[in-house]
Amino acid sequence: MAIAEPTVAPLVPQLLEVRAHRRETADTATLTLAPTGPTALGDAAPRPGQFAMLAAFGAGEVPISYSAMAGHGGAVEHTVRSVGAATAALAAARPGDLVASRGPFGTGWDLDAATGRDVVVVAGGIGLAPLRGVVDAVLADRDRYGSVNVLVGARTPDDLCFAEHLRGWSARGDVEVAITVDRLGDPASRWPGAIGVVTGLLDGACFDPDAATAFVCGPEVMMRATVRALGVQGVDVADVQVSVERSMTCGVGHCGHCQLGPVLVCREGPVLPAARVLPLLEVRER
Amino acid sequence: MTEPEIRDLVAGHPFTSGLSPAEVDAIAEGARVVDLLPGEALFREGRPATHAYLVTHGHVGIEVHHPGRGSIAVSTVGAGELLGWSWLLPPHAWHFDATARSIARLVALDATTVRAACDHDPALDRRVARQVMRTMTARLEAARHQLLDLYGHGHR
Amino acid sequence: MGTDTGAVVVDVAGFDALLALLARERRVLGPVLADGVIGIGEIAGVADLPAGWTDEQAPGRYRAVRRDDDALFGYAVGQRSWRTEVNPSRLPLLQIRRRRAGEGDRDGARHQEVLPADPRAGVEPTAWVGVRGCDLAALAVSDRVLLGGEHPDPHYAERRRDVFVVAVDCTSPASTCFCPSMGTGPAAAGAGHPGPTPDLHVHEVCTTDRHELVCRPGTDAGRALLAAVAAEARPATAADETTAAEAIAEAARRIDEHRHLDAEGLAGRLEAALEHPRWDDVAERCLSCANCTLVCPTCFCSTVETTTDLAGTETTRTRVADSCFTLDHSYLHGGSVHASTRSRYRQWLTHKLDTWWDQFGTSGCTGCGRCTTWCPVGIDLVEEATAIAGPTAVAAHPEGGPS
Repeated sequence: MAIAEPTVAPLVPQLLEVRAHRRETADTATLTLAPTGPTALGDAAPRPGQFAMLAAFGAGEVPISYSAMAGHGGAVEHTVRSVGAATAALAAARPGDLVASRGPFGTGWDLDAATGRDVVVVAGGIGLAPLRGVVDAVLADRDRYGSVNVLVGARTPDDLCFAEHLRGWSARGDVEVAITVDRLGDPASRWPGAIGVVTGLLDGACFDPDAATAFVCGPEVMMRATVRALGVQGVDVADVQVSVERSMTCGVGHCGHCQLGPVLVCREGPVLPAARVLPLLEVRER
Repeated sequence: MTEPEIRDLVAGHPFTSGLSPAEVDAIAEGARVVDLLPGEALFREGRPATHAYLVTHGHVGIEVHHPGRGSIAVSTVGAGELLGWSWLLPPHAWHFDATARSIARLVALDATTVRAACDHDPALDRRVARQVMRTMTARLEAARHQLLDLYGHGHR
Repeated sequence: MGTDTGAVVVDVAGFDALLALLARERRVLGPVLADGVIGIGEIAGVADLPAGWTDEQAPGRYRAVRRDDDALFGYAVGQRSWRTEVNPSRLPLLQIRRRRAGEGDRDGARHQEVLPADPRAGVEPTAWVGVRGCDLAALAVSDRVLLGGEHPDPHYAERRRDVFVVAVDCTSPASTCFCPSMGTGPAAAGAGHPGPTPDLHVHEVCTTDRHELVCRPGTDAGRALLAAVAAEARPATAADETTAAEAIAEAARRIDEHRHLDAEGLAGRLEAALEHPRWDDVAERCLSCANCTLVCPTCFCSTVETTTDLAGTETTRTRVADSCFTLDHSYLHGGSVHASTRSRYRQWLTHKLDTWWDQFGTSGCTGCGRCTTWCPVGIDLVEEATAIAGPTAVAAHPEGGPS
């Protein structure tokens, strides 16, 4: 059998320098990472919805989506929530530190599917991170789309990520941003907005259900409820894309960890058509 | 605001979708518009539930008063939604407080009128009951999801 | 009267000469008896083969026992497969080193270098002797998994690149074998076999009056090796091939009568039976010990260990074999997706027989029977799959599948 010369590249990380560290919430931070040398990302420039395998020195690798795509000097952003040793080490990285990154891996959001249509972005919790790139891309090419609704659910007002960006989008006037929180948390909170779940925001959103494309990311329970609620609004499940999480370990389809039935999430996902992934999520412990 | 204008607000509200113009007329009789400023109370726990409120703008918080912690908002009701269902069932008294969290406009349907119209017309009664049930199921599902604390630690 | 395939027949001494020639150029691995099991080890010649030995296998049972002849390859497969030769259970991937630099550098965090492991390191030309049809089919499966995608695995590729394969027909199958159901044996190669073409395809004939090996070349390297032992060989005749074909047919009949898996439409039938009560039943017996995944020739799951030296200057990533029977395999923060044994066994079985088709366009099972033999409680894959999926096709697999 003739075997081509494969490259070690997908297994070997690039060391990226932390250029900025922005605290989003008590347990979540956004890192701006840039190549240390004059490395051009070229074909490897990430697309919204893709992920990288990130590791702080000495800690394990974790899959983290890109929350902002390559900007000046190839800098990207990742938003990390500290939930274990590996993510805690990343969230603790400070400007000047190096972070090992492999990627980008996986599919991105299919923005072409939304051309000429209304855009509905529904995010729950840290699920806004992989969707931020969708909003940025849509707003950078605003005329290509109809109405744009960004619906965000957070645990409490203090757990809201990208607050500045949400304000910035809201201030533009050509995108509707609605935010809701599960609870106020601090009783003295001055949160003026909605309290309830993100699906409740769909009632107040203006879009044509027959000509809308929805992008959904959040906990699985939230995504299942959202696809259902979109259906009640008249949005065909074929027009809904979701991003699912499984324990991606290698990123290249070789380790078997990210299986969701027939789907290798790192390869076929993490962004998948809702019609494909929902039946899989409905099988318990699949 | 004139009576026909108020009637149009009622007719255009999702709560009355599926009702005939005559049915809308029946429940909209005596309806009035309520405008609230942020922080302004709409009703209080224990008081008579004399009106069904259809929110047309802004959002209103459903609150519980807890000694030492003040008023705790547990959810909000926004434009397009029905606010309150205590007017439907005896003893017709509110179980929660309602306070505007933004500038808000609501149409207040007279509960006695609505109940009388429903008693008179079983078909209307069924449709109104279904709309209330739709609101309640949505509110219950939301409450369950809030209870799950989906975005908290230990959850994906 | 010779055949036109270049096949020759050698006696045991001739085969020994052939192995000796191979060993001059390559590290030769073949079946060896060690610790009561016919495994895989380095061999220099026929003397190292477990001549006169066979195995008795049943669900949860393996015994190496004497034969009443001196057959060199008179046994089925042991617990070792060739998988670890190309996909080692522990494989260093890389190191990241940092050095303490000047003032203001927090622990040298800003001065690091990545040192990838060379995929060629330690890899030498190798020959595999005695590869069975099921295991050759498993090699084709692994090729698809690890080389077939967008990112071929460089470590697997280097280990796989220069392997001289001597495949041997199976005429002493075990009771746990079901290769005819999966189309992978007992012939080790030939028309319709899913495995890569071996360099040599050997059929051993061992009767009271005759002990010979029919050797058919499959590649130029195989032809060259046979040419080098021409002095000790005679051309194979049509009668030799007939004898071989009859022995294969007889073995296939025996296996299939004893153990048959209805692979037709199996993927779709399993997909339709994800909530079958039998999953609960098998979960009562399964220990979640991962043995089946360790002996399976196609299991490929791996994880990465990150270790750091005491000085905190060097961190090493090592790829290690993993199993879907561990809780960590499906861990997401908050818990494991496959929390119950039921779901882990279901993941394993449906992956092998069902979703492997979606992922890699082939079955993940080659019918070698190792999972059944080496299961400490004797859970039988064929029995479970048949109980769960039913013996007859009721639904077509949406993505295709064995048909």
